[in-house]
Amino acid sequence: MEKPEKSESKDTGYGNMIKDMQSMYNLEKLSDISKKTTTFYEFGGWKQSKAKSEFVRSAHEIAKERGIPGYQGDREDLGVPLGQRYLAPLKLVGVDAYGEIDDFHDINNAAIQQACDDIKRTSIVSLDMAHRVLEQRIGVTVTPETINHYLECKNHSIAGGALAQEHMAEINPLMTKDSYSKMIIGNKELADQIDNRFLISIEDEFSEDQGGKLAEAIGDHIYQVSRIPTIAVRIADGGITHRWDNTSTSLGLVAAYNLGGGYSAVSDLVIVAKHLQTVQIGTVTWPRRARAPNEPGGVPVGYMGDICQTPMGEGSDVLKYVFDAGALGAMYYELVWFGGYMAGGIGPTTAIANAFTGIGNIEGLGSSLITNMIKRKYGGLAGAEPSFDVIRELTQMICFLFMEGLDRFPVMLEHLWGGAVRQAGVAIGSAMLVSLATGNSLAGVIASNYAFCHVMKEAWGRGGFGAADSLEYVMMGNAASMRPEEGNLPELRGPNMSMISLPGHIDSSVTACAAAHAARGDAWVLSPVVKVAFADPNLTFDFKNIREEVTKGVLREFMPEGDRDPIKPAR
Amino acid sequence: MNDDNANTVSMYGDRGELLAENVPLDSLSPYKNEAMKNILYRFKRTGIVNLHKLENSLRTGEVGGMIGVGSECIVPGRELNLPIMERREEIAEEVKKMIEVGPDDDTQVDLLNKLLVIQLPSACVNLATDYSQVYLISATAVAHALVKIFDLGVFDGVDMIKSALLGRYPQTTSPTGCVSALLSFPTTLEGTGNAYRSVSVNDIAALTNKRTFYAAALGSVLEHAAAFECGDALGPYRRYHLLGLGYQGLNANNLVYEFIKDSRKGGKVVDVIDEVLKKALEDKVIHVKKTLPSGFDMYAADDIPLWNAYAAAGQMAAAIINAGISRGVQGTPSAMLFYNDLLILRTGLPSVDFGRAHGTSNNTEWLTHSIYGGGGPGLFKGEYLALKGSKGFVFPCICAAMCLDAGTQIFSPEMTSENKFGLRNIMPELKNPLVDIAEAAKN
Repeated sequence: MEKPEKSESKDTGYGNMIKDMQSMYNLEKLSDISKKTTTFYEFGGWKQSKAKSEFVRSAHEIAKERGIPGYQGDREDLGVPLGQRYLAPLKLVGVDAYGEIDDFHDINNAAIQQACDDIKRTSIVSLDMAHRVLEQRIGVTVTPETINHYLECKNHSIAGGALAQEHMAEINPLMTKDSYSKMIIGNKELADQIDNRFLISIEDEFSEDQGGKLAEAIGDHIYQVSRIPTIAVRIADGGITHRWDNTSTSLGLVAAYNLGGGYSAVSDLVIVAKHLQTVQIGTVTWPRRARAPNEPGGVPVGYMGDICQTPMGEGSDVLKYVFDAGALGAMYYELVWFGGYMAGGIGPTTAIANAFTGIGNIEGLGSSLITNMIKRKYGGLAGAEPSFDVIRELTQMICFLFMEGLDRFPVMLEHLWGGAVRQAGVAIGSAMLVSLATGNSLAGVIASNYAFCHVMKEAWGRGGFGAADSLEYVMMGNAASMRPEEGNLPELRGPNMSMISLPGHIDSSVTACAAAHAARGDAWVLSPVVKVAFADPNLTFDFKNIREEVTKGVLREFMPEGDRDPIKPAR
Repeated sequence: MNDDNANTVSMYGDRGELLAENVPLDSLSPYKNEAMKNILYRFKRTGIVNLHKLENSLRTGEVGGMIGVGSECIVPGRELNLPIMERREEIAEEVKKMIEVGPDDDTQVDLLNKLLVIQLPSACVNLATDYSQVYLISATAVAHALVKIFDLGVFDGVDMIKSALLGRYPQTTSPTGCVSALLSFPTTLEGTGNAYRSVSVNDIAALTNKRTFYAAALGSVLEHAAAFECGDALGPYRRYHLLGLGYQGLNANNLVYEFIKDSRKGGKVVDVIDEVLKKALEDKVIHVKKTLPSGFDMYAADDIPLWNAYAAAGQMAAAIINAGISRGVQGTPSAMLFYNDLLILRTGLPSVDFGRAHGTSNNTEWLTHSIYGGGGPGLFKGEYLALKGSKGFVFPCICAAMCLDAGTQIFSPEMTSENKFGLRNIMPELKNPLVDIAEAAKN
C-alpha cells in the first residue's frame, strides 16, 4: 500500500489539524496522569456557550411576553438526559475566529438559508422553441433588438408589474428587489448584442479555459435564468418558481412581440416556456417525502458541483473546488433536507458544521499529500483506469490514515457526533481520492461504500448512525446495478433515491462527482447551463465563496433577502 | 322512445356503411368486446425504446436532462460510443429471450425503424398490479442486452446506459430517458384509474394514421374504459357510458355520419343542433314538454342517457365539421363550447354529460389560448385538467378534429408523435378499429 513519504507529511496540514484538536479540547489537561481527579468534565453546562446563554435570556423574555414557556435550556430537569458535553468552538474558514454549532443551524444562519433560497428560486428555461413558435407559427422575426426589448418586459413582469393586461394589482418593488431575469448565451457574437444588464457573461465570470468549454457546450442555444423573489419561495415552496417565472415569460413575449393575450399561439409559447423547455433544478419527490419541484430532495448531486462556483478547469485549485462543492452538499442535503424532513429540525447541524470549519474536514490532510501521491502513482489526476484494485488500495489508505489519527485522540469522537462524522470522513475521503485518481464518479462512489463497510468490519464495528450502516452495505450491491431502482450515473442520483444514506453516502456522492470532473479538468459536472446560471454576480449568496459566506452567517454579517420590512410596522 | 335504440344499436363505418345490425348495447362493453379488449391489452403491455436516441445520447453524454427538446445535462468524460443501431437485431433477439416467459408465449419484440417495440407477455400483464413494468422491464432488458452484446464491465459505462434509458429515475419519480410507452408512467397521473386517459390527442391521431372516425373510436374506447376502471361506469352510469361510447365514439346507428352529412349545407354548429333535435324527435328520444306563449318549445327526455348519447354524437359532428371547414383544430374547443351552450338554449335539455362537456370545453378553450398554462389541443391528454372534467365525451372529439388539421399547429402529430404512426403496422387492432369492434360486437 502506498504511504505518504516523510517529506510530504511535514507539509500536509495533518499536524495542524491535530494542534487544532488539542487546543479545542483542552487536551493538555489530560496529560498529567499523576492527578487523582480531573476538571476535564466540568464544562459549565449551557453557560459555557455564548449562544445558549443568549437563548436562555431571550426565552425568558418570550415566555413573559406570551405567557407560554418555550425554550428552557437552563432547566436541569429538561433536555440533555445523557449529560452535558463539551461544546467545542468551531474554527471558522476565512477569518481568525470561532463559532458555535448553534450558529450553523439553518434557522440561525441567514447565509445558509439564502443559499437554499437562491437555489430554490432559480428557474431556467430554454427559449429556443419559444423563438421557433414566434417565427414559424406567428411570423415575427426574433432579433437581438427584440430579445432586449423582451428582457425589459420580462424584468418588469417578474418583479410583479402588470403586463399585456389591464391595470391590476401589482407588487411593491421593495418586496421583489432580488428578482430578475438574465440570458445565458454560448454564441459570443450574439451575447455581445444583448444588453449586458440582462446577461450572465461567460467571458467575464469564468477563466478562458473553463469559459471556453462552457460556451462551446451551450453553443447557439439561448437560455433564460430567472430568480423569483425570495419572499415568494418562503411563502410557497419551490413549486412556485417555474410558474412565477414563466407566466412572466409568457407575458413578456406577448408584450414584446405585440401578441394578443388570447391569441391561439400564446398557449404554445406557454407550454414551451412553462413546461416543455423548463430546467427544474429539482424535481418532485416520492409521496412519503413529498415536496414540490426545486426543493432540495429533488436536486441531483451533480448539480452541487455545478452550483459551486469555485473555479474548475486548467490551472484551478482542484481540492479547493472539491471541498467547497462538498460543503455545499453537506449544508444543502444534510442540514436543510435531511435535517428538515427527517430529523424535524434538530440534529444534523453538528455533523455538517464540520464541513465549514478548519477541523473535521479532510482539507487538513493537505493538497500536496493527495495530489503528489496520485500524480506519482498514476501519472496525474484522472490518470488511473477505474478498477477495483485502485479503489481497494486508495480506500484502505485513507481508512488507515483516519483510523490512526482518530485512535491517537479517542476523545475527538466527542466532537464527531458519536462517530457518524468519522464515518463520513472516511467515506468522503475515499470517494474524493478515488475520483481524483480515476476521473470516474462511479469508482468514487463505490469507494465510499467500500470505505464505510471496510472500517465497520475491520475496526469500528458500527458506523455511528444506524441508517448509514445498513444502507452502505446495500449500496455496495447496487452501485453499478442495471435494476431500475438501483445504480444510475452518480451525477444523477440524489436524496430522493431511497437507498441513499444521509451521513455518508450523499456527501460522498457529491464529492465523488465533483472530484472526478475536477480531476479531468472539466468545466462542469452535470450541466453547463446550471454552472453558468449560478455564476451570476447579482445572486444574494455568493456561490464563489461558499464557506466564507456561511462564516458571515455565523458572525451575523450576512444580509439575506426576503424580509417583510417594507410591509410591516417599524419597530 | 324507440326501445330498439335504447338497448340495441347498429354499427356503421366511416363511409356510412353498415357493419353490424342490432347488436346488444352490452356487446360494446370493454369487459366483453374482444376487439376493445385487444386494443386495451396492447396499450398496457407495450414499451418503446428509441434505439437511435439511445445511441446518440450515449455518444454525446447527454443523459438525465429534463427539457423536452435538447438536453441541459451533458456529462463530460462519460461518452460511450456503441453501434446500437447497427446491432439492433441482436439487441431485439436478446431482449425477447430475456422477457419471454415460455417459448411460445405472446411476447412480441419488433424493430420499427429507430424503435424497439416491446410487448410483454400475458404472464407479465397478469402478474402485475400496474403497468409500470412496460417502462421498467423494457429498459432493463435493453440494458442487460447491451451489457452482454458489447461485453461491458462495471467501469465501461454501464451506469450511463441505465441513465440513458431511464433518465434520473428513481431520483425522479418517473423515467425520463429513451424508454417510453403508450400509457404515461403511473406516477405522473392525476388521480387513480385514469391510465387509459394518459394518451395524448396527437398520439391517438398518429396511431390511427389521422383517420377521423378511427381516432374518435380509439379515443372513445380509451376514455370509457377508464370510466369502467375507475368505478364511474357502475349502476345507472353503466348504460350511460355504453350509449355514449357507441353513439359518439363508434358511430352507432350512423348518427355522427348523418349529422355531418345533413349539416354540411349550413356547416355551422347551429345546423348540427337542428339535426340533433330533428333526429331525437323522430326517434322519440325527446318530446315537447311545454310550448311557451312565444311559441318556443321546451323539451323533455324520457331516456336521459339516450338523449345524452344523441347530444354527444352531435357534439362529435360539430367538432368534425368545424375542424373540417377551417382545416384547423384550434377552434374545436370553442365549437364544442357553443354547441353545448346553444343546445341548452334551444331545447331546455341538459347538454352533453350533464354540463360537464360544456364546462370542459370552456376550460379547454381557455387553456388553448391562455398565458397561464395549457398548450395546443394536440398535446392534451384526457387526464390533464383541461379535459379531465368530462370522462369520455370531450377527448374523442378533439382526437377526431386533430385528424382534420392541415398543419396549423406547431405541436402537430407529426412533431410530437412521429414514432407512433408506424405502430399500426405491428398492432392490427389499430388499423380498422370501427370494423373490428363492430365485428366483435356480433359475437
